[in-house]
Amino acid sequence: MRVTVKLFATLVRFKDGTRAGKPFEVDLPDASIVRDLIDHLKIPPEETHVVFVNNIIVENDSKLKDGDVVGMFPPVGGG
Amino acid sequence: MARKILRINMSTLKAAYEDVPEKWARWAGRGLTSAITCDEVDPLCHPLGPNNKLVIAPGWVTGTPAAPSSGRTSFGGKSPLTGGIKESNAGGLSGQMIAKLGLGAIIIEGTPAKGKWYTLVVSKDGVKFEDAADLLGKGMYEVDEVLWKKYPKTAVIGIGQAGEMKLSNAGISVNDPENKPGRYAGRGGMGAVMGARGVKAMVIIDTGGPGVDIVDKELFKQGRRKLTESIQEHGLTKKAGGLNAFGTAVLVNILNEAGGLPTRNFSAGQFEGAAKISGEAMAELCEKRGGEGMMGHGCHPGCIIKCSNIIPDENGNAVASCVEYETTWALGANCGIDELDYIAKMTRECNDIGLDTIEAGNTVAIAMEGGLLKFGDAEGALATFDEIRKGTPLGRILGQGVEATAKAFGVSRVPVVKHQSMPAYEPRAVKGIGVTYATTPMGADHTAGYTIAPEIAGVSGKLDPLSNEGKAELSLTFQAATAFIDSTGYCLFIAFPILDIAKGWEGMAESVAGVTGQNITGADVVPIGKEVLKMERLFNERAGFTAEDDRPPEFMLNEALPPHNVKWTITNEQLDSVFAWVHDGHAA
Repeated sequence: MRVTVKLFATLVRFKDGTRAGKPFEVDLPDASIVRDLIDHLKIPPEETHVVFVNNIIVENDSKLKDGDVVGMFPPVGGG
Repeated sequence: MARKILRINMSTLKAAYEDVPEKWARWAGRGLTSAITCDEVDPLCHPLGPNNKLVIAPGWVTGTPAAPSSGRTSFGGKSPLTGGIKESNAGGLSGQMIAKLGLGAIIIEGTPAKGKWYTLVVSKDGVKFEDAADLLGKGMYEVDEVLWKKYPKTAVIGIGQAGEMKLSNAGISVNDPENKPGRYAGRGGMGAVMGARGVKAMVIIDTGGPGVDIVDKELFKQGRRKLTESIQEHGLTKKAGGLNAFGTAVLVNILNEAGGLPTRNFSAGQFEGAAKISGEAMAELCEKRGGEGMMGHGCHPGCIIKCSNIIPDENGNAVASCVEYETTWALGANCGIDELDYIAKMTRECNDIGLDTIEAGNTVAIAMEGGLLKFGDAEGALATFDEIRKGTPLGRILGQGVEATAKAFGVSRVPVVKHQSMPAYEPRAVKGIGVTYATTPMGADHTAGYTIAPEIAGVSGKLDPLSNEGKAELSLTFQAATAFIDSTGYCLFIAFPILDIAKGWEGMAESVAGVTGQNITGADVVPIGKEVLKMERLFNERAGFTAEDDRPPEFMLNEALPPHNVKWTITNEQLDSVFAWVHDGHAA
């Protein structure tokens, strides 16, 4: 399957040439879950704090499907 | 030396020190401004009339040595915008200096002779009333500069032209370490309350002040250490963490991703230009342009989070500090504007004229919806601020904020609660924050109970932002904890680490206990916060507020918000449950 990934804030350093929110595509084996994508991108699991799939916050064991759009954030906040 | 109250009478131009009466002895910061307002301000008075007061109070730990990120100053009174009680707090230099003068609070009351304006110079020797005629009509950049020439390295509190005109969107500026305006007690029109007292500016000189008494130094040090460690350990607040590297605008992208970034006057939850106005974009801009531009700027001495920024122009010269999340959203996404340079210029206008950027951006969005200009018209949006500065009839309407502008332009999508406009989180997509907007005594205010922490940021657990479940209880708990933190003088952003790291929560309470000698532990934070909320709710009831004032605007019940296509679905009964306890044991 192929998913679209967007990395934000301090996570952009895990993908050469990307900028915050700039989408790129990743091919994964069928039945992959969010944690597999994090491993694929070589991001230490403790660095991804909030993950969205299609604008919904999900857990790391959520299943992915072809065409999903995944957004990953480190700890962010403010006011 | 015990804290004193400094009472300044603008009718007689006399000031007097008073002992802190027993009934106020427990309080500082927001707790104290609200206690004094409840005791001394008639809830039915006109906010700009002779019976309103401006109450200024540093927090419990403000001015103590090395309590981290603790420089807040609370400004309280009756709000011209909401008609209810108001506490608006700011960073900058003033809190620590007022505290070091041994003052628990400054109460400004009375009205000078017509046409007379003053600069109040507050030092250990008392108050000097200086004629402010030469500062009238001037913006806060010039006011700060002029006053530092005469009184260098002092705290300057002041109002711009908006406060002089007593507009409902006038804020109170506090200077930052570079003596620039921008640390604003912005919300609720407190600048107009200061203007109504005939005070253009205040200079605080802490030289020779007695400092802050600490009753139990060991307990204070222990609390301070635990709190400092938790801030330094948490991923969000540590050095080079999210807040330090990208500022509060690190939130733009995550709210956009969640479909909760209000766009074009709350008509959508996502903005196609979000990334261009985000904290990441600001960091890139500062990196590229260099010069005076920087992220990781501290708004007051002793801050260890440093979430402020200085946005530079293309030549590297400072344009404005700080472009906050709220600011880049209000003047950006909510107006359909994706140009950071224009957002920075408008921020500078707000800082100079003395306007709350949230209300100001929402007002421009209303004017856009009403046809005065088009969504996305950055040049036109910037020009509206000159109308306010000059006090043209249009400018005076815009300076009154969202509700007045919506009436003037026939707009019915009016995102307000208690006449104050909503900040940068869409209640239909993030339900808990909507409960806070609806029920806080302050009018729509995100800082009053920041449920975004668990609903979006994954701090203190994770809750589904789209679900209604448990959101009334969640909001109340956050509102109570916030009322406590707003009384400490600590920046509200310590909430992120202390909600996740238990020793930080304990440390905050211990540091307060150490300073005051009150027996306060972590378990007391929420109950004490509820006492503050109760005072404020009862003031509002006496001012005429009812349950009907605890409601989101009608359009949020009728219009589905993309991309999730959700409406406001929390019931009025759930909203009314948030503060039902205020009347426990009493007739409602």
